[in-house]
Amino acid sequence: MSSTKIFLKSSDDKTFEIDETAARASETLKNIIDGGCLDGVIPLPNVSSNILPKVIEYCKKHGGDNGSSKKIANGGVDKDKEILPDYDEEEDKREKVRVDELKKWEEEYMDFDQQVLYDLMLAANYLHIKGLLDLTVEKAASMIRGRTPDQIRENFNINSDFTPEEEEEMILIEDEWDDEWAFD
Amino acid sequence: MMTSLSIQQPCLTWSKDGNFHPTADAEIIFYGFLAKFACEALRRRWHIIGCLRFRVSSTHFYCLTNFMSCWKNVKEEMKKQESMRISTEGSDLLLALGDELATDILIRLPLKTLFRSKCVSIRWNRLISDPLFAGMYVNRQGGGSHTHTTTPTSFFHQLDYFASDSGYLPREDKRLHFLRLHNNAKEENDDNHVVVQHRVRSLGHNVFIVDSDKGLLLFVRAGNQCRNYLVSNLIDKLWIDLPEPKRWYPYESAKLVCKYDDKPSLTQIKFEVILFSRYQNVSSLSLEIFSSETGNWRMIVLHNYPSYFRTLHCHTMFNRAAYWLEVHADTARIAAFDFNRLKKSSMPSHSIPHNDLAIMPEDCVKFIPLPASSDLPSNGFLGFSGGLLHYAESNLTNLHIWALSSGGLSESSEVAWSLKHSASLQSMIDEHPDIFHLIANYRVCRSFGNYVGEEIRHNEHKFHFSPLAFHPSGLHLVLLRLPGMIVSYHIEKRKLEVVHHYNIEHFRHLPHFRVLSYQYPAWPIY
Repeated sequence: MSSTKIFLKSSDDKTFEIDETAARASETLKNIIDGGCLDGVIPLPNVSSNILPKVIEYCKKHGGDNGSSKKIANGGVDKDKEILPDYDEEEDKREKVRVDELKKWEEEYMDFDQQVLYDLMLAANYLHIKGLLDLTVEKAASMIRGRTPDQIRENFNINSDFTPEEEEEMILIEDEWDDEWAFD
Repeated sequence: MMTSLSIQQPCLTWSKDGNFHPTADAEIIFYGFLAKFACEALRRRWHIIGCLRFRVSSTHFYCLTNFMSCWKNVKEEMKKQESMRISTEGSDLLLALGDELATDILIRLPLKTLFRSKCVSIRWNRLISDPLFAGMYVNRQGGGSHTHTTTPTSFFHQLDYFASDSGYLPREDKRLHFLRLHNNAKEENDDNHVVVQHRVRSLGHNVFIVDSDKGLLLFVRAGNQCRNYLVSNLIDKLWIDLPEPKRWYPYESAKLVCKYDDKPSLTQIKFEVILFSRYQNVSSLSLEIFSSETGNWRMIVLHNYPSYFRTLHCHTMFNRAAYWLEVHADTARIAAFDFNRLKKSSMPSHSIPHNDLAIMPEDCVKFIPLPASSDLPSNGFLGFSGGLLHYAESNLTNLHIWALSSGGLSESSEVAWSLKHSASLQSMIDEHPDIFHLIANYRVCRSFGNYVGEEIRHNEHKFHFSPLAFHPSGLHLVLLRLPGMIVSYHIEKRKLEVVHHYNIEHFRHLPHFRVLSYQYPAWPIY
């Protein structure tokens, strides 16, 4: 495995080092590398220096290791394999350990506040890192899932910008999804 | 091919006379059109690396002013992007992320959260109400085809409305029950489940579930000598009341058929309700069909129907064909009714005035023999799973499940059943002592009530596993009835789990219950 180093420059002019194999986890960086436009440092005007290390950490874990990143993206365990009766158990166990370990790593990795989450999501989108984008988007969705509109507004600092009449109409919609209703 | 551009702060000074002057060594300068290009690049998030160098002589002032205005745009654009990344404090999360990412998040939400979230802000409302979003959401859920194994599925359990012996039951026992499958954590978390469960609880005792298809449910509200059919999806509050059918027959069965076009139209779904009846004359089969397009019922009669069985056991529909079991003493067969033939025939079925009778061609009905090794058809069950017709049968020692791999309604006369699964009841008893302990208790209670169940009369120690339903998307789960309870049977794991207990206090003998599978609609607005 080649270990050519690549240098990334954050929006605030700090330079970070990353292995080429790890950088290939990002479609954007991969295109730049393959396109031959590599000219020393790659400036990333959309990624700041407090997010870039986090991105690099993810790439290091997943770069050049497409198999496992795919598995995580598919929701962890490969379900088809459980069904096949002749499946090699040893292989299965090793796979499980690997997936479990990755899951644990992801859990620790994803432990940060909302602000970092947005920045990371934007960076993942900008750099086209599908696995990381999936992780962050899923986390954001889990922060909304099952919440009432009020809770969502509070959590995400959203001001309701409806006019009073619209507001009334929207409350009707909300109620419809809220109450139990009687048929008779 | 990458296009590379780099924007650096151009070396310009602002002189006191109000004009732009390039500094003596200004060398990195863009022409106006290049700056415009850079703006566009930023907007589309092209990757701006490397640089283009132009040496501009001091005479090109018009270019410079042009450039400066564009440069301002570039800087504004950059600032906007900057603010997106850095200051989401006090602003809308989705606003900061842009439509594309916001949609990516919203599409992962369950329906209930999604629809309630319309009230969060104008922007959220706009994103969620976008028909394009609905299309994307449906595709993500498996595209309305409902054969996807991940389509959330649940089961309902209620008295069989069309079995006529339920009149004496207390109200509570007629109610619709929602069967929870314990093993499926994914479905447990889904709040569609919660919505449906709530709504099922609030249904009246006189509302019976009759059929389900592609996320819609057909109900009947029973009254005195009348029946009103209703269609709903249970997710939103929409109920479609059908007009009363023309005739009223006790030996009846009703089926719901949803019609999706190639691209499911999300604002209006077309459906048909078909009533099958054998009452009027034992040698005829009559149909009443309601179409949501015309809003009317029409009648079709098949005379010389070559059968004398009145009831339609395990009536099921798939791909515009209806199937049912005809059981008489120890002989049985499957009747298949092909609606496509009805259309192909010369009879102009659509142009018939709705209260006229039409005669249908005899080749609409075909009979399919049961699997050769079937020996107790009175305990058989017919249903569709994963797009194939399945037949399950339990005798006192084994449970067998067959699938019809060829024959049926196709032209080939050779009917081929293949045995898909076979389980010994003894081994199931051995593996699930807890469940069989419950059954033993149940029997003790029953016999104290001076009633000895039919199964016990036949054999003190054995009973049937009566198949009640197949999982619609594939043969991985079957619901079975055991004495006093309904269990789910996981075919791969060979595992039984209790999903429902009958209330033994009430039943002198067990009336006809049925279990109906229901796959949640991908999008509720029909």
